[in-house]
Amino acid sequence: MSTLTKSKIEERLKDKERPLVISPILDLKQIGDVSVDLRLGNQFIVFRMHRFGEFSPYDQPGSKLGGLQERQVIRYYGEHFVLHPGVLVLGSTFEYIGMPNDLEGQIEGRSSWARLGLQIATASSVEPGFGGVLTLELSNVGTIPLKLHPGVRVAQLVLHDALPQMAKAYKGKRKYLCPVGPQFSRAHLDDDGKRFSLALDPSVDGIAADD
Amino acid sequence: MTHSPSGGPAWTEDSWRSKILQRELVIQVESVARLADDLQDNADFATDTPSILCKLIGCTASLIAKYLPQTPPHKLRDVNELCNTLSAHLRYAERSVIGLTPWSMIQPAEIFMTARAGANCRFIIRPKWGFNYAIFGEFVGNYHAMIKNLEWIPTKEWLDEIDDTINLEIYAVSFPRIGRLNCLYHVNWGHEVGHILARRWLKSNFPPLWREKQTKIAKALTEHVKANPPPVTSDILDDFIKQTVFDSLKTTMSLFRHGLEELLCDAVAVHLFGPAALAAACEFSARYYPDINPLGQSEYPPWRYRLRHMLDACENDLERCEEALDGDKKSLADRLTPYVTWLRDTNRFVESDDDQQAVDRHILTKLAYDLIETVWADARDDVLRSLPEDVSAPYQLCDRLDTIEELVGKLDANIPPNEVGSWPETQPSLFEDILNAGWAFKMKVATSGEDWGKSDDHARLYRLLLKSLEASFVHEHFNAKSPEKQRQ
Repeated sequence: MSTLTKSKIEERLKDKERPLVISPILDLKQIGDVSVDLRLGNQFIVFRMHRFGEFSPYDQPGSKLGGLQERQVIRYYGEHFVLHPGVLVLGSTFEYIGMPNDLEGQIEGRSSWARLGLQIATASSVEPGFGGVLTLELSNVGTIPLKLHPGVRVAQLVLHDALPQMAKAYKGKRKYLCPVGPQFSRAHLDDDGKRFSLALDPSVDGIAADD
Repeated sequence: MTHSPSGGPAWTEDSWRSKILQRELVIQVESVARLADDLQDNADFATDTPSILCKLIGCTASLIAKYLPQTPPHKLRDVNELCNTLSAHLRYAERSVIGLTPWSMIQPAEIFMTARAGANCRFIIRPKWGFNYAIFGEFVGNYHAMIKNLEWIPTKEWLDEIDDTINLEIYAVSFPRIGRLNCLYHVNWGHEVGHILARRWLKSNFPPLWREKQTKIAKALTEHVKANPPPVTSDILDDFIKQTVFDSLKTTMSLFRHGLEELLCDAVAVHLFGPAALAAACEFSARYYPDINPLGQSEYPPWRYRLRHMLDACENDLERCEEALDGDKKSLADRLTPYVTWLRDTNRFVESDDDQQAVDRHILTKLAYDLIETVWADARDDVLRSLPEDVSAPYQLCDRLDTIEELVGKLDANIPPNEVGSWPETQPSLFEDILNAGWAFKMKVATSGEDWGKSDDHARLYRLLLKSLEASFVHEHFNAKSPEKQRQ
């Protein structure tokens, strides 16, 4: 697996057959030697901590759970969002990403922001064929609140070849399809919840109790 | 009148009730001022305009509260009316909070509308539960007039308080709440902008126009009433005819004015959005009977009548599109022919003259719509000429086919159509292009026999379109340098 360098990234952005889509790129400076800087979008999902004492991602249908647990916040370009220490919010990239079937990406923070305590992603892989904005798991591990301005470059996308190319990448019933803002967890769609969280109940199909 | 047992001023019903009202109004106007301040300070709005309206309402309410002790008792009910109006208007701001609007498109939509209606115009975009589009206002001018009527309040003090806001025109444009994300329907905002332009034209042109026509209309009405005499005794027949003609004249004038205004608004919508305006009107109107006499639907022209005028306005454009799509470029034809064909089918819909028959069935609507037809072309041209010079040319789909095809291609690939051109030579898409591309894509997939049309399909299309409206706006306004300049 090789990392795409600047000339290769530019080539793929121009490619008509298997284009890499990063839209819009507001500034050519965003394309670095081995990565593309991505900007912060203006939607955030904040958690309603006052609503529940505990939270299991598996025990309720996602849509209702999302509404109860989180709240969408919009800050316009030119405004700011304050991220307090120790708080996790979901944000997203401003750019819409369209990955061709033969590329895979890793999203990482930019060091200048990391030095201020901003972490932007923990689930960092971008699969071949993915289309959408990338959800950023923003947290402030520093000790002072951070002012985040939508539109500033906070992340970078490192691209790698994913070979052999997959014929049907990121198709079918995927959990996150064409998102244009941060997506709340859909962990409840994983089989694991049923299999492990209820494993000791013999009436539920899953891992049977040892008899 | 009852004498006071204590020998003080005599008790009267009016003074007793005025004291109650004055006491209550203190609480009421101060509450309005406080609510306006709270909303201005704490609500998340997409643009400054709702905050400006809150400030305007807050200042006005505070001033009324300040001068309440000087208010003549017989004017307290007027103050009560004004106070009710102010508090009711707060709902326009309250409902325009981000969470209730298609927030991605509010900033670009307001800029789009301001550029067409005038640099001093501001728009609050807010949902309403009724399934229709509407425009309310203008607020600043209305409040100014109301304050001038309250002669115990110094108008200058109000003007000082509201500062530069006096130079603005603020309107509230609404959309159906349950169709919040349906940005394709929001093309109807073009029609609402049309109301501003049409009313300006009507304000100066309608009175002389009506004066010129009314003698002839009165004569026709008189003849009609005489030919169809009412069942009254002969001694009151002449008076009855006079009264009937007078009432009918008023109704005819209203039908004439209202019908003309709606048609002018449609013309503005087509001018601004081209075929997308016709597409939105076709879909929106499908839920109503197309041939209802204006007297039966709040003086609105029949839908078939309106669509005929809209089609007239873009028929040449559609014909030229059809010719271009007959060419060699297959992708162009594949992506855009369904849209153009679907719109051209409107021709078949307007072949019927059931709407005209419905109009002609009643003497008042017949006279009013005959008048509309005589003034229509000049009125439409005047109103369209009143648009700012940089948007004076109508939106022509036939001149944008390659761009729209490119944008539809992006939607085919689940990519937001927010820019055109190949990287790095990309340019942000135009607001109108994105919406026309959305309509073209929708008609392509909706008429192709593909399994498209479920809620998820619509939701994905709206998501991509809204994202593209936002991204193109940011691209245009926050792009420090164009790619060409960056390379230099």
